[in-house]
Amino acid sequence: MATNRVMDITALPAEKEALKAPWRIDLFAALPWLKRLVRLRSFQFLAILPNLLLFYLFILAGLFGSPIGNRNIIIVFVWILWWFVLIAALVPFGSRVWCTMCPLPFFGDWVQRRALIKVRTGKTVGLRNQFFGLNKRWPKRLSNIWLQNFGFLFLATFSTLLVTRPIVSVVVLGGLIVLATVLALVYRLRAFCNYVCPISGFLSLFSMAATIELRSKDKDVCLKCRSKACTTGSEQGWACPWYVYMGKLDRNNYCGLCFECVKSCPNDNISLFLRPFCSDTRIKSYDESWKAFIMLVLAMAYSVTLLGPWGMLKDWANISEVGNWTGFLIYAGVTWFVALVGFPLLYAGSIWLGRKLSRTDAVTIKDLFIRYSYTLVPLGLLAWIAFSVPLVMVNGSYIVTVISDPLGWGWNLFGTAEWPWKPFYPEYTTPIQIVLLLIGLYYALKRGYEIALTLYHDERRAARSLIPTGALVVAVTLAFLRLYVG
Amino acid sequence: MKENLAVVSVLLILLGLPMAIFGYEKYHFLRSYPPGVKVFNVTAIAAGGIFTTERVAGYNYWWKQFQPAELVVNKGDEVVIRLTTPDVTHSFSLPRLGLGRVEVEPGHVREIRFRAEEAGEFNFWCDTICDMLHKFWCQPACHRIHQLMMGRLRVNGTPNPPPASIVERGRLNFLNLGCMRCHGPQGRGGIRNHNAKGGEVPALFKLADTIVNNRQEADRLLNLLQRGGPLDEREAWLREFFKIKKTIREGKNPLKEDPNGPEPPLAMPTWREKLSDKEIEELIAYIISLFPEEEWESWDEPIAKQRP
Repeated sequence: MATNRVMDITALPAEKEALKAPWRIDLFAALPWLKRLVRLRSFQFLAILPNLLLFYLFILAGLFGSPIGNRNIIIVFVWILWWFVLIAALVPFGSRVWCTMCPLPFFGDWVQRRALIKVRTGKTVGLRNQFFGLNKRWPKRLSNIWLQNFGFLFLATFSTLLVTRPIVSVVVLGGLIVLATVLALVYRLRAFCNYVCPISGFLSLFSMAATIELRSKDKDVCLKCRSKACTTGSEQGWACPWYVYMGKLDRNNYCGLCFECVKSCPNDNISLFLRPFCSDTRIKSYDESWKAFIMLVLAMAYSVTLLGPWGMLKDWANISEVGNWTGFLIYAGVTWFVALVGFPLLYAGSIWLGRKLSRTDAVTIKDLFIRYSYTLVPLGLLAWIAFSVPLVMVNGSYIVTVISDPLGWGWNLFGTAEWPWKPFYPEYTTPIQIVLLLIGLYYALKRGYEIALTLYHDERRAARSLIPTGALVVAVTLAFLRLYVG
Repeated sequence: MKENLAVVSVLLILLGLPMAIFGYEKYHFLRSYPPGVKVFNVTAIAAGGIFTTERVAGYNYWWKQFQPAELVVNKGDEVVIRLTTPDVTHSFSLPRLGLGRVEVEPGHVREIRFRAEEAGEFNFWCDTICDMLHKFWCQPACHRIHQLMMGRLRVNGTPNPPPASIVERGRLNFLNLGCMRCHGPQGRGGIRNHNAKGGEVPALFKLADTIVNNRQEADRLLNLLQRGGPLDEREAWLREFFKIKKTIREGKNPLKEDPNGPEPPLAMPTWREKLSDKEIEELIAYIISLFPEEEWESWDEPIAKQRP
């Protein structure tokens, strides 16, 4: 198995354990058909096509179908089924595999490449493919995920509208498609996916926990490669839409699994690997740290508002029906404040205290702040899964009814339109949530300690530095448990 | 070749999917009903308190002012009314033709099938009590504006001759105008009216003992009304009759149980623009006829004269 870290022979046993390369299984070697499949020129198109059909159906249903959420396929399939599958299966086990098949940038790619399957060779802004449009460089100042952070927060603030009103979902999804297309005409590659798409924002963070990765097999081969076709494209494949260089890629965050690099690599040096959960542990910048804060706080906010017993909070969030603007502004203001300021301050306090406890200044506060924020990634992901479980267990029967009557027009295509609403083993919801949260806590603390070891090279200092942040993570987990268990 | 296939498949989706959806809807619709049947899609909407035959969908539900439903058929037509609602549970009642009460839940389609055997104009309404009080109706004059959730069915053709009996004509009006929504079926009452004296909208079925003093006076009044002869307002025995007639024509606010409490939500609306004098008299005749037979027989005349 290839290693991806240099082992220090003077390292402590625990640190050696932490630094030891995690196991990886080369899936292309183990499953040759998989490699043949992703190397097909038409692979991504065929992956996107069914979702294009479905999302188009959703948009038509949202426009022309029933305004009732649970009788319209756009609400039931997007916010119950797709959301659950995404957060509970695709992300933890498939990284950004949703991006492989996402229809939102489809038309943008089409107008930018003027092709759906074939590759156009040429020269455009240093890339070896022909791209159309203005091909402007994305502004450097926005070359981060802050736009995505705020975009997701904004959508989350109006989530009661978004996940219950078909027309609002149409506006959002349709708006994202239009935006992606416009941005593709103005900027290079997939600027929308990289910097704007709110879904991409949290996918970038939580894909770090995923059990697969697309990586180069041998970094030395990449070093010697002159063409760098994985990034710049070739006759066999398009330039990486995410502008990633496989020779240096060591995280899942910004790899959209389009597999163009697999097609264009002249050295057949790229493969898909199976790996342990939460293998990527390096948060690199403040925008990513804040993404972790936002996602965790929103998981709590959603759980409190949508699953909690406080009717007043539901009314405050439900602005379009209740119309209590004061309450809504309190709800939105508190959520934004806690996500952007309150929780980060609390976290920063734990970092400061941890650094004090470590009794050394060898590691800067900034490094600690950024690196330890990874502990919130597994916890945040599992908290979101725990939140999503009751959504599908309680509302899953609506999936059966809308399959027969997707627009709420009184159809009965498969005879299931009149199936009564019935929760699916709701008595198991809480035990499942408990297990998920404990898994999240376990990985948060385990990976946190591993990170601490790589920073401090000293077991005791590492452990002491992590105590306050670990306590914070435990406290958050207990808060979730209290909410779910009662 | 693959590229062209790809483009074709995308275009097929973009053009074909809406065609498939609307095509299937038309096919499904046509298949469900034999030719010649008049089918109406009627949607009950809470926000506007309205029945409408206009398409109600995601793109217009939240902003459009929908037009109230007016269904037009010919006498003898087979009619199907397909009821839906995009928001809350409603109901459908058309008591004049004996249709309903049918409850309509969000996301479900409920059908009413009937044969239009009688020409005329018939009202239908939602019979479900909601916090907007759409079940009830009060004109602006009574300071509480409730929008009656109502639609109209018009059956073209030669109307049946009106019943000979004034009581029967009154009964049909009572049904068609929806008086029972406030006064209860057959005027039996039971509809709560918060802070009104007695706590309920008055029942009508014993109103006869206010209008007349005994069975003989009731019969005399009914005969006069049946003959259509002029009634003299100056006659003492007709005083209550004319009071009731004025109440129906002009409307009336109920007395408050607690003078400091809120205005009762329901009040008698004015009918002067909707009903002629004759029609009001027919209603009163029907009300008189509701008086229980056994109570006529046991009515003690001296007690009756003591009533206010």
